[in-house]
Amino acid sequence: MRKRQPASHPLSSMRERVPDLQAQDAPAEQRSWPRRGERQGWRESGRERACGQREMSRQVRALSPNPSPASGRGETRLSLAALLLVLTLIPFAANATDAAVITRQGNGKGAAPCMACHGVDGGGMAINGYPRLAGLDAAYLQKQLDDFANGSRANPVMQPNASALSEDERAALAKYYSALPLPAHPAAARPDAGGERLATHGDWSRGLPACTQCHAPGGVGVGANFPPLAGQPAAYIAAQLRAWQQGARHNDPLQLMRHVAQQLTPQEIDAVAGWFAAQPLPAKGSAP
Amino acid sequence: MKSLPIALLGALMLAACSHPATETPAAAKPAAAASAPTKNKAPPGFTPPAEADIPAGPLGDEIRLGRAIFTDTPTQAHDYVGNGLSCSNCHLDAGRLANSAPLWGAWGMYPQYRKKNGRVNSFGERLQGCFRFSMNGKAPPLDSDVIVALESYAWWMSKGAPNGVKLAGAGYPKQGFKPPQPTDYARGAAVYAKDCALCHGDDGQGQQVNGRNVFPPLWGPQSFNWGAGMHELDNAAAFIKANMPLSRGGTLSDQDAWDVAMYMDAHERPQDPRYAGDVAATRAKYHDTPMSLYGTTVNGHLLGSGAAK
Ligand code: HEC
Ligand code: HEC
Ligand code: HEC
Ligand code: HEC
Repeated sequence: MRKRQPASHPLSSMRERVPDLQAQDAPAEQRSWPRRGERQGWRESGRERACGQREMSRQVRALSPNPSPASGRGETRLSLAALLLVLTLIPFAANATDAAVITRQGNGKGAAPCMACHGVDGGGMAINGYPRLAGLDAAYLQKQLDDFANGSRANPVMQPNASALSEDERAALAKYYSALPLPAHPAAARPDAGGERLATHGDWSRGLPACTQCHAPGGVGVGANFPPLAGQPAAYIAAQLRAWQQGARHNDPLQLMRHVAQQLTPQEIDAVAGWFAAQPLPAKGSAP
Repeated sequence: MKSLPIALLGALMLAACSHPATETPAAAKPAAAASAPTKNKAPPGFTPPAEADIPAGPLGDEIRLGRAIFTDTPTQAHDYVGNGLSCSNCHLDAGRLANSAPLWGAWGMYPQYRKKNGRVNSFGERLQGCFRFSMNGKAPPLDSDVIVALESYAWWMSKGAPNGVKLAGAGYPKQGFKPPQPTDYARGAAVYAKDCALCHGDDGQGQQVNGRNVFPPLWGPQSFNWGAGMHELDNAAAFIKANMPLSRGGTLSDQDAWDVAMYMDAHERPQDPRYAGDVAATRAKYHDTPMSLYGTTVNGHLLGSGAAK
């Protein structure tokens, strides 16, 4: 017997909140068919994103209201005043500002500063397998935070963080990260050919579609339901596939990822994770 | 046209298999003779050669071009395609997958007499029909690169398959596949919301990235037209049962597959290119079967009357 999704699937209400999906209604004349390799907006910048702790703490300091630990009191007051001025000048950004504060300082109720792990720019931290959040779909991010909180995505690091956030804070953080520009992606090692085959052809003899049939060519992601894999840390992608195999993550609609992951060998998981990690980030993941 | 008594659908299903369908090879003599013994004896299966075994050289290049056209039709056969679909959207795994009308199941069955046009059709002519109806485009000339490349690809994929024999996994598995109860639009809508909308969108228009389909539309101006085989309920139900939701084929109940097929095919899509002046005449001429909802009234709307051009 196949398990049915509840009639009011959580995604259905989410979809209504995502303007991106409405773009499906674009009239025919707006649809053009870019030829191969013509994908718009690949990030050109070759700036290496710093993942090291030292670089991060330097950036944290640069962003904090008090940029220099050695600075005197007058300076502190000045930057606080500047911050207040900014806050009053951009009243409509109240939500985003709350979220920005949480990313730097936590919420004081048990949620840690997100940037400690997800990076100052939301780009994640490849060496530790912490995922990029910047530029992901807001509804997707919010669903993941909800899923950590409700236990359908079990993870010892993120569950306590997500549970300590209020619903409003989760929504604000999801919106905040989804609006961040995509960080530059360091050039990765040449991925394994076996990983590419699985990613772009699948293996239909086992009923496995290509990953890119759901995650889009290049793994750039589609709308609110299909997150980007391009440029995510290989360790993160592999950890998710294992989490589905083991049942720690069981938040996937229609059990799609469980079914896919269960058929992969450990070698295939590493190969396909390596291939997606090496794919370039698009300018805007899901916008058609 | 009067609204079609849906209850009749189940009862009339078997008769439908022999009607002059657009995309469905009519149950002409050779096909009937080949499929007759399948009741007693299982038809032989076939495994196509691996893609890596496509030979080098000019013939191999033509085969590879055929594969490229099949999997990225709007780009590779741009002049002949009127929607965003690719052949492989309906013939999965680049035309290799059993039960999704694989090319190796079709190649050895042509030339074939088709009641639709009352004459024997070559494989190339069969492909022309796909462009006209499924792709809502126009037929490439038989000696065009597009047709020759697709023929080369189908020929290569069928190497070693018996000629003129209906193989297990050929076509969509619609023989003996009937709805337990008459199909129902409202039930179909519920199945759609639960099992399909995630990918094909609430409005059936699929999902696009950078202007290209990742999830193809199921109806509307960018879908297959009213002349295509997928607009017939038995084809659609069999395809959906075997192949959808993507990667979860075979998980829908028979009833759910039929209901959602009916729901999908009860939406407007581009006009039948053989349009005979009005919907009733077109139905009488080309759609006089319970498997087609064209020219019937569903939810107060006469299907075919609002067809996108
Ligand atoms: C101590 C490190 C750490 C901190 C602090 C942290 N995260 Fe995470 N985050 C992780 C790890 C590790 C994962 C991957 C979890 C898994 O494997 O399921 C993750 C995953 C996520 C995901 C899922 C991303 C996806 O692509 O599915 C979201 C969303 C997220 N974190 C948001 C946040 C927010 C918001 C905060 C701040 C309130 C935060 N995280 C703080 C380590 C951290
Ligand atoms: C049939 C569709 C489908 C296919 C095929 C598919 N995925 Fe997914 N994948 C999904 C969906 C849906 C999600 C989002 C799950 C959720 O909502 O939590 C997902 C999520 C993921 C995630 C989590 C991303 C994140 O940010 O946390 C990873 C990693 C992933 N898929 C890897 C793969 C790989 C590798 C393959 C190919 C071997 C693959 N997927 C094939 C549908 C698919
Ligand atoms: C919208 C879905 C759709 C698309 C797109 C499509 N087809 Fe088909 N095709 C069908 C259906 C339905 C049938 C009838 C299958 C049956 O009778 O079992 C069919 C039948 C065929 C057959 C005959 C199969 C047999 O076993 O006799 C061939 C060959 C074929 N298609 C090739 C193509 C090619 C080449 C393209 C692209 C130019 C294409 N199709 C695009 C739906 C589609
Ligand atoms: C996980 C995503 C997903 C789900 C869920 C899904 N489909 Fe599909 N569907 C696809 C993809 C991708 C294709 C194209 C297949 C290919 O190119 O290999 C497709 C192709 C089709 C086609 C043929 C192409 C066309 O546009 O006409 C039909 C018909 C179809 N699906 C119907 C359904 C129905 C009905 C459901 C629900 C029972 C469903 N699908 C659920 C992803 C999905």
